[in-house]
Amino acid sequence: MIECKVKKLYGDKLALDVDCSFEEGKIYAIIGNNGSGKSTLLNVLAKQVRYDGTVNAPKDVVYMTQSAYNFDFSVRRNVLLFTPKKDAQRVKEAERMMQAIGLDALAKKKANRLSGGEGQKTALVRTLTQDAKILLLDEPTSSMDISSSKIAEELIKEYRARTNCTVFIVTHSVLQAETIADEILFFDGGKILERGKDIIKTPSTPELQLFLATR
Amino acid sequence: MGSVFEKAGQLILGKDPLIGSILGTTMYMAVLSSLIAFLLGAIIGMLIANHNFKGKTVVKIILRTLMGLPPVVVGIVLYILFSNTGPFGALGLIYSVPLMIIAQVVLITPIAAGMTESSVASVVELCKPTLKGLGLSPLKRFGLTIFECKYQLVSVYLFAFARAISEVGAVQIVGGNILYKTRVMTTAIALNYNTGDFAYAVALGIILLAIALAMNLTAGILQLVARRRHDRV
Repeated sequence: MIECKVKKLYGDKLALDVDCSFEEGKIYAIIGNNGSGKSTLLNVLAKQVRYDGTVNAPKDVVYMTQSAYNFDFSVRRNVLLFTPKKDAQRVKEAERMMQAIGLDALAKKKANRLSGGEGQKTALVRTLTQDAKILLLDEPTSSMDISSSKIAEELIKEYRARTNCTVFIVTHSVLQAETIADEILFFDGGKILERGKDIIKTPSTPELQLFLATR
Repeated sequence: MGSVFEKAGQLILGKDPLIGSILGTTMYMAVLSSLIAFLLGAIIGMLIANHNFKGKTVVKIILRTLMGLPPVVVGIVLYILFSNTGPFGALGLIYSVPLMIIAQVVLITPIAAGMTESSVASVVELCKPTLKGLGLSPLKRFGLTIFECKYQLVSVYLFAFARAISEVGAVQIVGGNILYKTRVMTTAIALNYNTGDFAYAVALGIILLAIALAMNLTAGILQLVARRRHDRV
């Protein structure tokens, strides 16, 4: 069980105020307006920011940030950057993911000169080649086209099935949240206002109803 | 003006018996001091750019102030410290190339550190969250950050070298401009100016510029080759 009792302030502004727990091995989709605390929760779980409170979670965390950076290498080298060459199984798995998402044709191109969506695919596949107990994905498909986005969702699900890790995915797509998640968290003002599998179909707070009405 | 270039031509063709010694001392001092200062400065600059800590702004202000260290002042301070009656006089370094190198390192390290910090800060800001997110060790993160900033670091080194080869104030004081021992291009230029041999002084200046040009061209070509090689990977 991942337990999180955290308060985070940026200056005077409350960015996060949560007291919650998460089952290991599940996929959690996080939705909410800008500045509602979604990314802050990921930053806290990844221990990338200081916070007040306690987080009881496994240490093996891999985090794909919103503006994932690709290094000055080819796409293939970026993807396999942290995969041991001798580990044939993982190399093969990475190559399969590259092919599935359409990166094989770009394998020899410089990753930092690709389009936003292609760069995001590279960063996602690189992230999914890492071992983790917690996988944090901050809008991992925001620049991808719809079909690539669907493939990416499948790869994330496969990764979870393979590693049994807990996945937190921040998304602005309600449809993606419904498709991929075992549970959806709705953030507003740094707090989880609603959580559950069916909160999209049966929203109980006016904030979530308003949020869904504007989608 | 013609005699200046004629003189420069004679110097380059090795017709001047002194030029070999002056050029050798100059290159030895400039390459070694710029390398040491660059390594120290780049590490300091990268560390400052890579970490957020209390007092970072103060450290940056101090660093930028030190970038403006007057060479003559550094020369005088080192002279006092290393002269025979000074606290480090027993080391016997006064009027020697090693002390000239020390002076250059004192002068150039803050410049290299400040330039590194300001030129890599934006790259570090971009790649830091990804590197941290991938769960890499601090050493691996540092290595990859250096790799990502390689072009900026080459520029910093070139500037450090240019500064080392063209500095005159401090090396004149601590080196003493001794022929066949501590005379370098810049101190030789100053000496020839003082003795009224302007043609010789300007000719030496042309050689100095030619060395800087050759260094920059080499670095430029290396960068181009590296980029093309990378593009093919």
